[in-house]
Parts: sequence; C-alpha cells; structure tokens
Amino acid sequence: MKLSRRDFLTAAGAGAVGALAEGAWGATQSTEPITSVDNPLKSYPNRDWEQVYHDIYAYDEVDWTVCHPNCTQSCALNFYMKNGVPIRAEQVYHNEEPSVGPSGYEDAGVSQHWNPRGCMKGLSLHRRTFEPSRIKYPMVRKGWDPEDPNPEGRGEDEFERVSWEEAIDLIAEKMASLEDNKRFHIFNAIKADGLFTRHGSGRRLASVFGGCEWTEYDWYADLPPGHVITTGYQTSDADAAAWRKADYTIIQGKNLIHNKLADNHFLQETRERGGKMVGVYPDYSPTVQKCDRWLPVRPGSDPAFALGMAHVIINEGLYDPEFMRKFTSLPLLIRADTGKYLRAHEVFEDHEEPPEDLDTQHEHNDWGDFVVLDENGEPVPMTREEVGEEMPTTPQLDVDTDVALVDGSTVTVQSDFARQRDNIIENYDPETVEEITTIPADKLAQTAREFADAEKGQWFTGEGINHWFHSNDALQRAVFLVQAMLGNIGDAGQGYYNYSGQYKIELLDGYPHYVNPDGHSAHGMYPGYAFAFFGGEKLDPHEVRGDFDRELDLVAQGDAEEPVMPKNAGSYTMSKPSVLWTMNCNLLNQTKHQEHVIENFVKHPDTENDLFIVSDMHMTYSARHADIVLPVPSWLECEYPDITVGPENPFVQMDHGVMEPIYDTKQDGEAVAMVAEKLDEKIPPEERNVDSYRAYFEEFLEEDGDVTNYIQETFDRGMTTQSIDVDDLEDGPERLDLKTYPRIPFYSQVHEDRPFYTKTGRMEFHKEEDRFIELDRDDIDHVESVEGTPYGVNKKWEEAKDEENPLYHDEGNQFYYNTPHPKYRTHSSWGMTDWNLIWASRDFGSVSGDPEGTDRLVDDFSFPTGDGESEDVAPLGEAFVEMHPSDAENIDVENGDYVRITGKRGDLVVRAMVSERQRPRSAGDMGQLTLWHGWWPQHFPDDEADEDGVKGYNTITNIWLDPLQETDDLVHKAVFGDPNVSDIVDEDIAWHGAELEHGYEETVWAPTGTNRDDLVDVEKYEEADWWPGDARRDDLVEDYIGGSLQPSGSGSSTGTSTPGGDD
Amino acid sequence: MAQTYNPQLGREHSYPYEHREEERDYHWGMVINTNRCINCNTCSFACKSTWTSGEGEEYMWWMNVETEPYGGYPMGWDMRLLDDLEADQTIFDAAENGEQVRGYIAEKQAWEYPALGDDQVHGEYPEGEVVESDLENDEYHDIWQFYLPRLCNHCKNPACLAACPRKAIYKREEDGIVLLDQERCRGYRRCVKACPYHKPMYNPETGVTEKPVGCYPRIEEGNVPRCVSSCIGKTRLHGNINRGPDAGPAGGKSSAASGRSPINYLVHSDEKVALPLYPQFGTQPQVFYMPPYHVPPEFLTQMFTPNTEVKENEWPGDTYEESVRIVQERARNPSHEVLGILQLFGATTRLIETYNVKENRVKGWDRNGEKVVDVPIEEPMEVREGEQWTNQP
Repeated sequence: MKLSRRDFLTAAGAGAVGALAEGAWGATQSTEPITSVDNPLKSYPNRDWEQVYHDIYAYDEVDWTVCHPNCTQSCALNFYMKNGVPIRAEQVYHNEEPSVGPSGYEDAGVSQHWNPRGCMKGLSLHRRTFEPSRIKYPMVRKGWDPEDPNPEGRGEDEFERVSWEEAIDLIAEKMASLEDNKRFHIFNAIKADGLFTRHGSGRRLASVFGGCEWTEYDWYADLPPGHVITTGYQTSDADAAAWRKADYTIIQGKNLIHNKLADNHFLQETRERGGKMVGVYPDYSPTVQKCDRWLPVRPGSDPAFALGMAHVIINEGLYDPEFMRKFTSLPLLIRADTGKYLRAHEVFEDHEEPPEDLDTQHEHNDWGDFVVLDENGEPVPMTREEVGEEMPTTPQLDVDTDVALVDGSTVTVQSDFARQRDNIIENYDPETVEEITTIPADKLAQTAREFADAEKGQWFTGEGINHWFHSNDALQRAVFLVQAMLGNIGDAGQGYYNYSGQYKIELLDGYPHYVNPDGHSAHGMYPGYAFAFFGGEKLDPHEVRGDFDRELDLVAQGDAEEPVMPKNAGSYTMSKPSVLWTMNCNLLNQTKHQEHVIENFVKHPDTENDLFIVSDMHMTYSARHADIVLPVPSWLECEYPDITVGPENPFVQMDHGVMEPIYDTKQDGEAVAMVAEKLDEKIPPEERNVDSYRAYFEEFLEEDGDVTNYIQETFDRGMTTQSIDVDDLEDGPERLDLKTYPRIPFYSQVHEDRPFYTKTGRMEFHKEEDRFIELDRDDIDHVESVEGTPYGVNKKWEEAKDEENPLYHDEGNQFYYNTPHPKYRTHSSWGMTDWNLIWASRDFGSVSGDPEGTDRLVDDFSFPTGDGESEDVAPLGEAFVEMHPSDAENIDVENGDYVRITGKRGDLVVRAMVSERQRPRSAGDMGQLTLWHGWWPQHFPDDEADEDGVKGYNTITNIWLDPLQETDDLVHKAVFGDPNVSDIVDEDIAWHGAELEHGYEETVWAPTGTNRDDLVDVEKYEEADWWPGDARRDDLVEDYIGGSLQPSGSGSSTGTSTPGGDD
Repeated sequence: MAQTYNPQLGREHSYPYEHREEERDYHWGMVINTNRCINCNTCSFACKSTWTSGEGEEYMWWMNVETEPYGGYPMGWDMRLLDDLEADQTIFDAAENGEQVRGYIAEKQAWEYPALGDDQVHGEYPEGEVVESDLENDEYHDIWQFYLPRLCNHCKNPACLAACPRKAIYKREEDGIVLLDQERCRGYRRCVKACPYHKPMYNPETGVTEKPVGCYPRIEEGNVPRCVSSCIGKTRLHGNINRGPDAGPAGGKSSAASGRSPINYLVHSDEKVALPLYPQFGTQPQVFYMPPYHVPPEFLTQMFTPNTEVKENEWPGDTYEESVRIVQERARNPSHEVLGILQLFGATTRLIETYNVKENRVKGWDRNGEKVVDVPIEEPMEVREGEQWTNQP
C-alpha cells in the first residue's frame, strides 16, 4: 500500500464540504435588499417554512424491539418508521407515548432512575442493517466439495450463490455421514443473546444430535476463575442500581465508562452522593477522569496491589472479625503437613468419615466436616452448613497450634487467617508492593485506610485483568479477601464485581428445558484446546501452560493424539470438529494467536474440519473463510421473537422485527429446524440419537407453529420467570423474580446463613485441591507473568525480582500489548457501520475519507464473486495503536506514522496515535501499547514484507492455558440452580434437586483465555506524508491548555457596567 | 450599532439588533453536568439520525462531544477566536470593517475528523506518583481530560442572526429557538463564519446553510430535544431557562409546583452550579455546564467565564477563577436541592417546567401542569419473602 498525500480536492467529490471554497464569498456582496424582515431578534414574518423540519421529523408508525449484542445490557428501543423503513431509534421511557407498549420499563416495576437505556450502537442499528457488508443470500465456497473439502482454499476461493434448500441439504448430508456425532460442533459467542429462535436453537440441535457446543465465554477470558475458586459461583455481579449506594469504589483495570454505557450513570451518581472513587490502571483510562485518585500500576502486577491493601488492613487491625468468622474459611484449621483442611473425623472419634475417594465425595456432596478452635482453644467440628448464626461456637481467627488426632499423632495446624496473614505480612508490605507495582506506598496505605473506613465499599475489576495469566485468579482471590475482611459482601453498594463476559444465561433458569431437552445435553468443548492441538502444527502443550521446566504430567484425552492435558482433568472435552457451525460469532477475527489458528486449524490440509459453516449478518473475516455462508437477518428484520436477559439489570425482554427483511435471510432457529427436518430424511430411525430431530423444532416448521410456546414452556420451568406470561413481553420488558431487587450476590448467604458454593460452605481462601498445592498457588500470591514481565517469569516476587526475562532484556520486547474493548463497537460488530467507524477511528476517522484507503477497504470488502453484488464501502476510518510520546520519539514516530508491532507469534502494521495517556516505559520498565479490539482486517494496511499474511489485531495474541484451571476436583455451583434451595423449589423447576458440581463446566470452570499476556516490540514502519490536521501541533495549544490564550484585560474598557439581570 | 446589556458579562456591549423590552416568559435552555458525561456520543447519533442524515449532510454533526483539551469539531474551533479577541472584547465589539461579527471560516479539513482527539488526555504520566484531586485544598488532576458536549446554544445575542445579510435567521417569539429559514437562505455563509460555536453548516448539495433547530417539533409537543432524551448518562436537563422564582404553578394548575424551573435554579439561583460556554464571546449562550471538578480551574476559567481580571457579573466569588472553584465544589458536593434536581435528569422525555424536592422524593411537572416525574432519592432494597427465592438461580 502506498501512503500518498491526501488530495482534498479529489476527496471533495464525496460530497460534504468540498464546495465550501473561498470564491463563493463574493456572492454576499450582491445581496438583494430585504425589506420584509425588520428585527429578526424580535419577530419574523413568514414561518410557514418551519414545516420543513416537521416533515423531516414525521413518521408513519413506531414499533419497538430490543438491541442486545454481546455487551450485557439489552436495551429496548422504539424505531420510528417511514414507508416501512426505520428512520431513527429512540430509547423508551416510563408512561410515555409512543413508547414500548404503554409504559416502557414501568411494567418491569422499576423507577424512572433506569431511564433512558440504549447507546449509540442501538441508535445506528438501522444503518448497520442497511450497510454494504451484509450477506445477501446463502453461498458455498467454490473450492469446497463434501468429499474433498480443500481447506487450503478457505479465505481465498470465490463463493457461489445457492438456494437455502441446497445449503441445508449439504449441511445435513455431512452431519448424517458422521461416524461420531460428537464431531458436530456448534459455536456461539454467548448463548444468551439469542436464546430460542437464534443460536440457542443451535445448541438444542447439538444436544439432541449428540454433538458439542463451544462458547467464546471460556475462551475469550470471560471466565473470572478467582470468583469460582473463592465462592464456587460463576461471577458475582450486582444490578447496576446497587452501584450508587457505595460510599467508596475501587475500580481496577476496568474501563466501565466505556463498556457499560447504558446503566453507567448509577456509578457516576455515587460521587454526587458523597462517594469516593479510586482507579487503579496502568494507563489514564477514560474512567480515571471520574476518579478522585488514580494509582498508576505496572501492567500485570495487579494482585500485589490488592495484597498490599490486605496488608494494611491486617497490620492495622481494620478488619471485621465477625464477618470473617461467620462466612469465610479464615477460622478453619489447615494441616501444615499436607496443606489440606483438617477434617473433623481426624480429630473426633465419633465423627463420621467422608467417602475415601474424591469421586464418591463429589457424588455424595460429602467432603467431610471441618475443624475450628473455640474461644477456649478446644477443637470443634464445623460442617459446611454451619455458617453465620448457625455456627456451633465462636471460632478463633488466629490459630497456630498442634492438635491431637484420633490416630494418636499430633499435627501442626494453622487457621486460614493465620496462613494468609503470615504470608501477606511477610511479603506484601506497602513498600514491597511499591517495588512490584510502582504504586507509591503511602498512597496505597491511605487508600486502604479510607476503604476500610467506608461503610459500603465496592470493587470492580474487569476483563482486561482476566487476560493476565495470573491476575485472573490471584487478583480476584485477593480482592475477595479484602472484601471479606471488611464485610463488604451481601448488601447493596458492597461487593466485588467483574462483569466480564455475560453469564446472562443463569438468570433465565428454566433454560435447560429448551437447550437440553429430554435429558439430552451437548458436550462442552474448550476452544483453546481445539486451536492449540488440532489441525496441522500443534502448539507445545507445556509451553502454552507456562510449564517451561516441563514438570507437568500431561496425558492424552478425547480425540487428542498426544499428551495435552494434566492428569486429573478428565472432565474436559476434547473432540475434533468435523463440522463446525458458528453462529453469532466472528470467531476468526476475535480468536487469539490468529495466525496459528488460520494456518493450522482453518487452512491446513490436516485440519480434519471438513465443513465450516458461518451464519452471520455481515461478510466478516470468519464468513470469508467459511465453506458455507448463511445470511441472517438483523434484529430489525427478525421474523421470530427472542428473549434476552443481562447480568447488570433485572429485565427480561423480548425482541421482534420491525421491518421486512431486505435480503434472503433466515434466523438461525429456522435454518437449524430445516437441518433437523433433513436429518430425519437422511438418517434411518434406528440410527438416530432421538426418535425425530424434526420433532424438536416443530414450532418453526409447522404451518400453525408458534415459537413463543418454547419460550413460555421455558419460563414455566424457571424460578425467575414462572410468573411471566410471554404475551406480556409484547407490551414491554418485565422484571425477573429474584431474591432481591436490586440483585445483590450472596444476599441469602449473608442474611439467611446459607453456605457459599464451596466445599467448606464459606468464601474459601486457602485451596486444598492437589493442583493448587502442586503449583504452589494454594494460598494467595502475586506471581509474575509467564511472559509479560521484565523480571523472572512465572515466579513469586522474592525470586522473580532478581531475574531477567530474556524476551524483555535480550530481545527488547518491552511493551505490553493492551487490546481493550472499544465503545463504538461491541467487539467486532458495528465494525463497518459508517458513523460508528468514523468515531471509532478517532483522529483517523474521516467523514469523506482517504482515496487510498477507499481502495483498500473496497478491495478487501467486496464479495469475491460476480454473483454477490459488490457495493463500495465508505472509506471512513482505520485502526490505530496508541503509544506514549516518549516511546514514539524513541523510534522517531510522529502521530499518524505507521508502525510494525512484533511479538513472539506474529506481527502487524498499524497507524500510530501518540497518546499521553499510555504508560511509557520510563514509568517502570513495562510500557504499554493500546490497540482497541474488534477492528476488521480491512482496517489495517498491508505489510509490504508479507502482503498475503494474516492481518488483524489478534496476530500477536496468544493461547495460554493455566493448568490451575484444569482441575477436576474444584467444587462449584452449576450454571443453573442454587443447591441451597433446590430441594424446596417446585419439581417443575428445571433445576429442582440440583447439587454442587465439580471440575469442567462450560462457562463456569475451564482455563480462561489469558491470551494477551505477552510482550511485544514496536518499530517504525513508514512515515505518513499526510495526517489529519492535528490540533496538538497548533502553536496556540499550549496557551490554550494553560488557560492563558485569551489575554485577560481589566474588564470594563469597552462596555458600560450596569448591575442586575439574569444570564 | 445598538448596545445591549449582557448579564453573563455584567456589562453592555454592541449588538446589531434591539432586544425585546421584556424577556420572554419562556426560553429554550439546557444544563449539562459534564461530570456525568461518559463520551458515548449517543446524543450525537440521536441528533444526526433525526436531523442530518441526508445528502450533503454527511459531515454535519450538529451535536458532538469533544474531549478537552485536544478535541474539537471543527478542529481547534475555539482557539482561534480566543487568540483573536482582545481582553473584554466580544465578537460584536471586534467585528471588522463591513461585518457585524468577528469570526472565521473553518476550512474543510477542520470539519473532516469529528472524533479528533476523542478520549485523549493532557499531561505528564505520573511516574512514581499518583494523580488525585482534593477540592478543599485546591488540588486538581494534573493529567486531565473531560468531555464537552457541544450544540447550538440558542443564544440571546445570536451571532448567526446578527451576521445574516438576508435576515433569514430569527429568534422565535414563543421559545427563543434560533432558526435559519431554509427557504430564504441563499447560502452566503455569513452565519457559518460568525457563529463562534460553529454550528451553522453549509450544505453543498442544496446550496443552503443549515443550523440546529433546537428540536422544535419536539419542544412544540412539550418534549425535550433528542440530545437530552437520548442521554444515557443522565447528564442533561432541558427546560425554560426564563422561569424564575415568581412564576405561578406549571400550566396554571394548583396541583403543580410554582416558582423556578429546575434549570433556572441550577443557573440563576444563589447556588449557581452551571456556567455558560465562552460567555466572553458575547452571544449569551443558553446551554450551561456543570464544570468538571477534577480539571484545573485555570482552563475552566478561560472556557466558562468572561475571563477578565476584574469580575463584573453577579457570579459567586471575587474573581472568575474563584467563581469556577466555588461552582466546582458545588458540583462535587451538591446541596440537597441540587441533588434532588439531578434526579430529574433523564427521568422523562417530557419537558419539566416546575419541580419540588422533598427529603426523599423529587417530583416534576410539565408545561401543562401534569406530573411527569416522581422518584425517590434513595431507593429501598426489595426483598422477596420465601425461602425458595435466590439471587443465584
């Protein structure tokens, strides 16, 4: 690509302001006299023309639907229609016409504080619907043949238009010919975005067919494992309405003001109510703007900060011993010799032993009882149910003693508190934490004291934190420790939230009835394994686990041919996908270690993935690599309604189309139903997994079918929805029936003395599972990154600090590569919508565009076949990477120049934006580069050294698998069902009788994708000989910022001062 | 040229037209709390999708949010005028020969990048330090940014109106909205040059200039503008800026509150918390901003006050910088009355004419005297009775 100087006169043809040329000014001189207007400040004679804007504003009708991308929020919007076309969207309000049904969110029983909901993405949904990247009809890749899939041609071959019937027949034929049904895989980003009539139906098909389902939840670092480790619960997020009740908020590594837009005001409002906010970020995150204090932190050192907070709280005795005794493992005794919790049967003769082996323990939910010391120093047994007021005694917190066992021996024990305290006091004093994190010790201590002093304190971390190999568990466990020590759990304005990913699905608790019908359930599948170990070249299973000394004992599992998994991880599914069908997911754009995935999983002759089907609205990078492409309607065009729920609001909402589809599209549910029908034709009854596949999708296929029957049946099977009539959702959102509004995680644990979902029934800090002990991570510590550190990798500070990471010191990869969530896109969606792209491109987002850029975008964007009409895409913007001015200067880069970023796994070329907000290397070794995520390959220039190479922001990210998270014996709550009350809920509730689970569970417990934990280098690629006019270069800017641009004179030299009067 | 008294400046200056003898009973006005703004630009998209998605309007963002100090649409729009004007000179005082208003035409390139500087920050990275603000000790963030939503101010001394040679721009008698007659305009672009806020925009396809319309089709129905109703940050309140303490109940209904409109309270009461954008230009803009409390007052003094050494208007404090500090403190720690009014922000699409604030309840009435807002300040938690209920289903 040539970076030539922009020719503005040429660009002016694009419309806008080109005609604003100087010459036209002469025209004003020949103004004809106007006599009819006297003083337009007072009155104006003829105002009939005002009808012009009334006409622009006018609409024929209003219809509503719900915008619910993968952003967790789900907002009902009114669409204003003219001639059957939506011309604009507006948010819904209480009590107002025209609104959602009669009353907006009022029917959901919430106050006007929730008004309004719906961000700029919802407001451009109609533009997204009409933009040129839409897929217009089903297509098959020309190089693909059912007998000879020819994967090398993926992404390069042209497509051929086919009918829906042909496409469906090809899919069903391939499925029917599978020898092992498990090799049919459905992949969707997040189940809860389209639960019934969209990709949820894909899961239903996988379940009855006996296939696998993957979700991006696990893979995309959406799992916050520290939550599961500590509480046994997937992620403990509260309704946004609870946020503003906090007196003190710590927000760490989460850019909440840009990725929770709809209900963000609840957080901003805390400050008006006297709340204080402290941010912990490596860069000046936009959220820092709202913070009273910003503590700049070295990337990847976050756990040490939380441990430093714990240090001050322990050292200065600021903790809440009563809460700690009642609801945490801190008073429980732990054997010094084995690192296991001391069991009651070991101490008391008459105490029944739990089953001997772990499997039977899990089966019986009996892991033995635990032991505490009472106030007199006597051991007392403690069951997992004996929490809160139900404790048989008041246990001591600080115990370090010997206990006599029934076998006559004596064992040294410590309370969990003593263990954590000793470690924290020894290793995480504020001065040491300053060394680790670069956060000044006095300010850390001040923050800890203030936080402890606040009545209600809440703590946010984000998904960015999850992307660090160690932060996702260690930081989360440490934050929970602080919150538990301060009693900041279980009430509004208190808690620890992550809001990573969208486990919305739990809140629709009747859902298993639909997706796992008649006891058929798809196998879970972890994408990281597939991408790392299937296909052509495999990644080194030790290396991707940070097991550089090759100490892990790895075994083969499932379809895998070579050792890939640590022992005792048998519940993790490993099945090679012969047929992979992705829905609601731009898998290959968003995937980590993208080059590896494309070259070895997608395009390698040995991939064994014979058929790759992509259902999408847009010709994404993934669709471009598919064998069969199926076009789906936008939310505005959907024929069948669907349901959505979200983790930070209490609503259940039902969307439905507002306009006729403009292309030959079908919803996922209908496409799946057609496949099911074909499967009945192709598979003889005796070979089917169920009597009839079609029978599970009849409501889609029958003339008088009504898919809302599926929804109502599911509602009837869930506690949260039993009282809801699906017809009522046609008039507007309803509120889910939960224990509290706003929903506060663990309300019942703290107020009704119910156990947490761990073995001990308590928030568990020390972990006794073997893998935790083997890896020396049974207690809470900061461990340096497996790659992203200047110090010794994968080691605790004491050892790490005197070592050098050769990748950093010898190879000069000295930047952390940060790819946070953008605000104008949701991941990669809205990536090509004009207004969103202009704004997302910031300095490089142009309303009329760069002619060179135009060619690039259109070339890459066109359909590769004569059949698919190619329409030009407006050349509106491009990707950029932000870097600190001092780091840019080091490599002679100015704003707008192009740079090449290189990591161990790939490289990319991108425009540089010089940005004072980024962390410079000079601030403490690790610099930071920020490239907002979700760009499409079209937004990057070609690299002349590698013109055909994979392009995109994920070429240099990684696949890491933390073996800590590959443990079969970690106890947790299942996605659905509260085991504490599963016996007393009605038998028709889907989770009646649900018990605690253990080990792998999709969207709960799997290695999360810690995929950005890597180091990169950056070099100048090419000087731009044009860049957007840059206000920062202006001579005036310094005075402007300093407030001295305008001379401030005496004040009354030109006017006469007269007192009085309003502004 | 006529002289007019400008209360924002506390003095008279020239303006080409005589004002009405009496202020309007009703005048379009808006308050924006920048501390709540999250720069989502939903307002911008709402405005654009409603008014400027036609041909020749591709570059027009009547509503836009800029990140100060580096943002600007058109680029650097305010720097040039600040540099050109003498101290205590309005754009009318500074008009050059043959013109009514001092201004400049922003070049095409300056309009090209509406998101320029979006989310950028200014300052040194705090190596080995922290960044914090403590208003009581006059401590502000030394690396900073803030979001400035920008729109037409429907000024009481409109520069566009003053500059139009065809008198095609007028101020509506009933609500003060400044409109550009699309039928009379010949596209001379004097208003484009004159408006210091650069909101009139020329349409090259039609040859006519367009300017923001204050959403008058909505105002006429008693609804607030799109940029207000779409604001998910609840940063805005729209209403009658002229409704003072002596006005009767809304709609003449005794069930409705009387007295000030909520925005009049925020702007004109003794606990003023909102300031106009660049009052020194002299146009008497009617959009008022609750200033960002973490930002150094020196910058805000230049942006939100007359910025003269001697303070001449009736704002609190002895200097304009002191005014800013006082207002920042009020925005950070609002009184109960102000906190109450903040609950009205984003609560309804109806235009709130009057209101009252009780200990834990805030109510608002529309222009017809209908109650349109009724919310508690503190909401109690609801707990469902029965052992079977859970928050972790």
